[in-house]
Amino acid sequence: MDLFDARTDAHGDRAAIGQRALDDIALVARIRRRDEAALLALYDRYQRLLMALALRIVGDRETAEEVLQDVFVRAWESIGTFDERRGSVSSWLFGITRNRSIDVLRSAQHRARTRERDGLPEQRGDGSDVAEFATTRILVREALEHLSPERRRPVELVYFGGLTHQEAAEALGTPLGTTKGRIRAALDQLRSLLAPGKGAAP
Amino acid sequence: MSAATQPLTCDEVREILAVQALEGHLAVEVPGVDEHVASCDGCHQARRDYLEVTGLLAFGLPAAPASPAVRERLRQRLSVSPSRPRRRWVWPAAVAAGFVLTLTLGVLLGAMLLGGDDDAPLVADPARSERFVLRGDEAAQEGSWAEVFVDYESGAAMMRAYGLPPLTEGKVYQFWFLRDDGTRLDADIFWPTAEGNAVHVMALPPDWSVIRGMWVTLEPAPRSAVPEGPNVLVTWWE
Repeated sequence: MDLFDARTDAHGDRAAIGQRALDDIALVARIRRRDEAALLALYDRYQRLLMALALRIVGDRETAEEVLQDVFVRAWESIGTFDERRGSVSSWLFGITRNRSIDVLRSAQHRARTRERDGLPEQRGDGSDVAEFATTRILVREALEHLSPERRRPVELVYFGGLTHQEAAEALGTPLGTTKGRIRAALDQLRSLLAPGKGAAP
Repeated sequence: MSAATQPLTCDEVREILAVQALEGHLAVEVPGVDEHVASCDGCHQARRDYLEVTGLLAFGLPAAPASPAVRERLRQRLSVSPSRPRRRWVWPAAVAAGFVLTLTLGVLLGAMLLGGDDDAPLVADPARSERFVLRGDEAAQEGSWAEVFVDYESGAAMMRAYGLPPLTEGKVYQFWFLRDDGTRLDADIFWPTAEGNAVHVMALPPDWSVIRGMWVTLEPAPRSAVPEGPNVLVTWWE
């Protein structure tokens, strides 16, 4: 965030502040130019969130850290595949992390259905969230709490448990069509809840 | 009935897209879906939205910092010089500020989301927070506006913008604070959703007493050192 920099800059050098601006798209552009420091900046920005996701899926810290490192090596090597028209940088990184975590989970033959959990874990941050994610975190938690258990459970089993929707249907004992319908309804509901602009105009 | 003889409907496609977005690389390709999406703007947008929503799910988890050794291994692998004095200061500062903001923005957001509910457990303290409304100006379309919740105690501001015109390639929205001497202080840049809405958190300027307004302008990417583009949203006070 620019103003964090501004507070450290006794001379108020606006040009220097502008040059220090780091946003995801700009970082990706630099990574495309093989700027290694930009990759580390992206790591600094997202490692806490990606580590949380990897840890949630694979279940142990050592493996999750291996996944995290691998994610950024892959991001470095496959930066050319990122297309901002298809989604955000964070979604791209979360996708790599989740896919890699599930590969590890399945290769280790940790069958995901044995790892069912009772909902999302207690939401206790470690106080290290960077400011730019604070609002997103709050909004997502609010939105998740609005989902009924029937809709939320298959989403958790597939996204965090590493199951296919067929496996989730089997685990939940619900028909395949019902499970697919609930997944879609859940994502539609989240899509609606997470879009800003629901408030009345002044 | 096969896709070859009966094209998929939007309803069928969106159910498949939702499942595929959630399954990631485990998803199975379904014949006819890509062709449908390529020719249907609504389903194209739905696929993007489903991917974004699933990407956001991990934000619901508690943050889990990796050990410093992971970064060091990555740095060694990339052969990066360790000399980065600026960021050594910036990130701890951001982390510390983030802790405060997480707490405070919970209060602010709670007030926004639960406003009007007498039982709401989270209520913003008017003595240390304030709401400003920015209205559309020359480059805005009808209905564009934003609300900015300022929390003086934590030094944070949260903006929610609505109905902004879509960005064209190479453009960004940039937020400025207006000083009493007429200069504008760069706060941050942001991108709205496809619907023209945005939520963004910013730090307040070090000396709030000299601030007399807030501005959003349309600027060339990546951002401008001083405002160059047209005004989009404005508010000011004496």
